[in-house]
Amino acid sequence: MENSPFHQLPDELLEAIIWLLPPAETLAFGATSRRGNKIAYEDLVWRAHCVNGWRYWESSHELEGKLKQPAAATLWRQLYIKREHFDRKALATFNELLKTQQHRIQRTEDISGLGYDAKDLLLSLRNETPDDAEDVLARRWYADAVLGQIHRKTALEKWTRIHKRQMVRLEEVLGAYDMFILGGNKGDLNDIDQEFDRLAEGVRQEYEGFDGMSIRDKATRVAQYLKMRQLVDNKDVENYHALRNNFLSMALFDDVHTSLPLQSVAIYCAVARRLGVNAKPSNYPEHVHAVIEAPLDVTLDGRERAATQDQEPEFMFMDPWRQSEEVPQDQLTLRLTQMGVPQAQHANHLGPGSNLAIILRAGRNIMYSVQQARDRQRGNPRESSRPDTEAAWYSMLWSMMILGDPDPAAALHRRRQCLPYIAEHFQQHFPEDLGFVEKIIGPMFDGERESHVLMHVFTSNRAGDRNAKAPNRRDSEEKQAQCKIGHYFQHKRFGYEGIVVGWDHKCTADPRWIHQMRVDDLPGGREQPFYNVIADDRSARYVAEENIQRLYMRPPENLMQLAGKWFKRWDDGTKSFTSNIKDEYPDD
Amino acid sequence: MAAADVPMVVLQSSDESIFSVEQKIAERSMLIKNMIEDLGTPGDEPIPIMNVTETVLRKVLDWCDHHKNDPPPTTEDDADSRKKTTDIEDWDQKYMQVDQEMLFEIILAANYMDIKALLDVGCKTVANMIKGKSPEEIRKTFNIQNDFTPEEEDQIRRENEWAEDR
Repeated sequence: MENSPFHQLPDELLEAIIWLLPPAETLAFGATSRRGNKIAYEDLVWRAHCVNGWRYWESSHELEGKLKQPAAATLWRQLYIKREHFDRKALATFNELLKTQQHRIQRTEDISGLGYDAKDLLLSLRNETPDDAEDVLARRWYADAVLGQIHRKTALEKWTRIHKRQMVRLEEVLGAYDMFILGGNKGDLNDIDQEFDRLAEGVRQEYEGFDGMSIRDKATRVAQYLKMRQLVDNKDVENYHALRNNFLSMALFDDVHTSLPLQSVAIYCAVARRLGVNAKPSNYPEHVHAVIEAPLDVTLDGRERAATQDQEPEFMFMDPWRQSEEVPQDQLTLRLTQMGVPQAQHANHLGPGSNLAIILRAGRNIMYSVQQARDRQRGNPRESSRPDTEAAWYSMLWSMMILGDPDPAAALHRRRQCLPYIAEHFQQHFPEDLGFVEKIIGPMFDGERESHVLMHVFTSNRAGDRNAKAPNRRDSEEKQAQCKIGHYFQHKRFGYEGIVVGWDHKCTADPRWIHQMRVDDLPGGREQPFYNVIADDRSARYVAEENIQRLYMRPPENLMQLAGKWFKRWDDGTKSFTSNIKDEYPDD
Repeated sequence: MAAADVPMVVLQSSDESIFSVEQKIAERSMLIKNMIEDLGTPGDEPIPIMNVTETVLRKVLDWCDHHKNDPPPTTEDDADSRKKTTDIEDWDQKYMQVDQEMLFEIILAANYMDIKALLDVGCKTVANMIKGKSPEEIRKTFNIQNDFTPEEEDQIRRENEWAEDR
């Protein structure tokens, strides 16, 4: 470096310059000379590049632990290079995935296999793809789809753990439902955990001497604190069963913090447990309470007592959703009697519910809320759909499927009931999840009568992914379909709107459907062209040409989003969507 | 130029040139500001700026003059300077259009005279000169001697392969 102006600079100034360089140039500078190398390869520099480069890390990196150690304890530069390599590999795979339907499931799995190491990239593709990008709709749709798969994988792992009777915390298995509806929002399991930590710390700050209080005082203070922040509440009684109320992350992070009693109690328990209060949701019918158990050798009011083998610990009850004061046990027992619950079952209903029981209960609540939401959306498909009803429904189906029942026969029975629903739902809305179905549901029916049907589903779906689509050409002799792939239309009789995503020269549905839908009563009958369409309520339908009224204005936002599955963008020139399924319909 | 009642100080460069400047301008330099605070207003006694030559000191004082009304740096700015924003405001960009030798002299002077904002601009300018360049291009730009052994160079190339295919 003798002749270089850098030669005059002391190390600290050279370092100051290097801190301003992006990673690629930092490496380049480190490759110029020994002195440049020594400074550019400093662990601290690369730790900063790692931390600034990515917000999300696969848990196997143990990033938090690494950040607490001295920088030199970690090979930060190598870690940076590894993550950068993942990003490039994932982006290359993603670009291939957008180009063709062939291998799309395989490619989705390849990217989601990177887990949280792919999340930053997918989030930026999902949220930051500019409106004028050539394939903006597809890019956003598939980034969201792959990201969703990563989230669902975490959820399914948590539920599998609880099914195997392994340790999992309530907020994890309950938050697993949130992973299905998360999209690009805040509120994954880490966010939820951090929020509970923050709230627990807030309680300590708010009430002086909190740690020295009795269990009873602590229990009410926690409820007061959460109530003040309206975190355990629902003023909006009319929307008691609103779908959003079923999700912890929405109760915690949305501007309106409403929730069902179950989620409110879960929030309460998670915070209380972080503060040394042994609180659990109860088995109480209709309305979940929190049961708080004192340690064996202390009363709820903090007096010591002799702990003997046969002695019961003291209990108390809270209903944080309604009030911050303790609920007397008499009141709860009385209500049980009024509901006609036999005396012998009282202890069970007053006691803590297992995590399994609570999640199944949460699943049933979601089922009910989705049904209600669907009824409402039928009247108004453009109503904002966060949380997404199909994703919420899907979460419920998976939890029913995995969690089953401790008794194998009962579990099989429940799964058998659930199977047709989940099979249909995944194929229609989440076909990329084939791998989950193969790995998790397949073994559940080993040796059962469903197994060969499942096998057939797996192999045909895999083959469908592996093989190129057979092209539907327009050069045939038959009557040509008037509408093209990507046309936006309104159904003449039913009024809903949709997009053409496929066509046949004539109706190719099975005879039963033709009969049921009275196709032959149509003036054009079954010999006219029929269209596969995606409707604005997200359903897939099959429509006769005579019922299609093409529309030319720009479609509403909900259809634009849905369109990403088949189309690159909306073209204002042709007044239609630009096809991304040219492999299947090369002439459209 | 300055009104009579504006306090002035006298600075002396390493090659013994004398500059009479507004105290406010000179105090952009924390070195000078601290000296005045510690030793009292110097009056006509020149303050020696030992490591800085006349040409460089003149250039540095130009910067201080232009920036004399800037708000003092906050601690937040301090933390921010570690972020990799290498945006430079227009006036400073023009100011930094000097030959490489002068650029590094300014950086050294800003460091010695403790003018943080100027040091930042100097470092950013150098960083911008590095951006987008390969190791060989950086060597050429700054006349850096490649003192690696072939084995070392080979190893570095292998480690950094990801950065080259772009």
